[in-house]
Amino acid sequence: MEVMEQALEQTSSYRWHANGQSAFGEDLLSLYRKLDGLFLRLAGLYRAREYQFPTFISARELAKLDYFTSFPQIVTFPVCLDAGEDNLQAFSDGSPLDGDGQVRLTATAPVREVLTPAACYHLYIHLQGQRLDGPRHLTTRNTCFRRETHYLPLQRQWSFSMREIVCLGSAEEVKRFLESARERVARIFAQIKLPIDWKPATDPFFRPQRSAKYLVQRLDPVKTEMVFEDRLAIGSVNLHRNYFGEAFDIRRGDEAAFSGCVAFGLERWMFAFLSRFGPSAGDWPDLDTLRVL
Amino acid sequence: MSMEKRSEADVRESLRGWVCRTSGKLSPGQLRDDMPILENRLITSLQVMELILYLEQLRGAPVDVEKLRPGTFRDINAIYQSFFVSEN
Repeated sequence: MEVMEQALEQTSSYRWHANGQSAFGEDLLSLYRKLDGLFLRLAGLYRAREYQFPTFISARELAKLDYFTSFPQIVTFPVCLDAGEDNLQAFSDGSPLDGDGQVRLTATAPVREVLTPAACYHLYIHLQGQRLDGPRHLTTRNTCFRRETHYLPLQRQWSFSMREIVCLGSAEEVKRFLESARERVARIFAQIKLPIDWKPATDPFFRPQRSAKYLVQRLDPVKTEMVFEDRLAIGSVNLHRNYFGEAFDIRRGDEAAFSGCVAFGLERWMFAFLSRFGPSAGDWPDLDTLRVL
Repeated sequence: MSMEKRSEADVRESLRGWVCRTSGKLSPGQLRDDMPILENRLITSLQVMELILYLEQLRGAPVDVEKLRPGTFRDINAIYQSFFVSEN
């Protein structure tokens, strides 16, 4: 893997920021778009409706998912200065940055928003209160933010892109969707010969030993990851049961809707792709002509 | 110790009663012993912790959370098998 990181360092169209962010262009950007295009073609097979959502999510909505008690270590908040003129004056009169580049904040405005931690949350909030008369398929991509203790280029980033395909419906409808999507994704791996194992996993709960949600995920596994070369999860298939349906009052028939999603980490897919096929675009399989079926 | 006096039918009835009371989604009599509990989210994750405490009380012995495996809480049958059969 270090070989891959050295290769990235020598790629002029790529730049790694040590605070967990990547900048890239040219062939790498083209790869990013082709991968996302592949996932969109997959979403198209389910006639998934595509949505684009903002960067922020209301903290009040996320609290309905116990997000802040389950994942406090991950969450990132947008912060603004308190709008009072004296406060703004004090900020601009002082030296706004210290020698380490740390901003010397004066009073801050109340924080009511969170930077998107997972793309699909927006979809459940969007459908809040709805009654579904059939299964509903949706897809969205967003930049997601997850604070980590360490970062690695394309593999573990503070901000990264996630494409998700979601199904809401009855337990049976969601189960069928997840099984079929998993088979289709497996066929993609087989066609481009990307070595992937499917492995059961749990979400990264804070203090898992004390987390009831972690315990239940262990007792009733609902997450399966696509693991590249035994060490990097580049996507996952997740069954939420009726957790989001209950939290956001989305109903299918008389009951809280079930939901499930297939999630793709785009930068991680890029990493797996580059590790497998090398940094030169001429050696890459043609994703545009790949059949998704 | 107290569980030695309890019959299987009695334990199963207590378990069904607890799940129905806690869940509020089913009345006793609607819950069959082979009905999935976690899969249907009859009880929430926090209630699973309460269930573990209840099981400890019911069988008079602690539950080692580290040793719990997928399927342990699938339904009343599985709970009975896991916590009330293997005991001496």
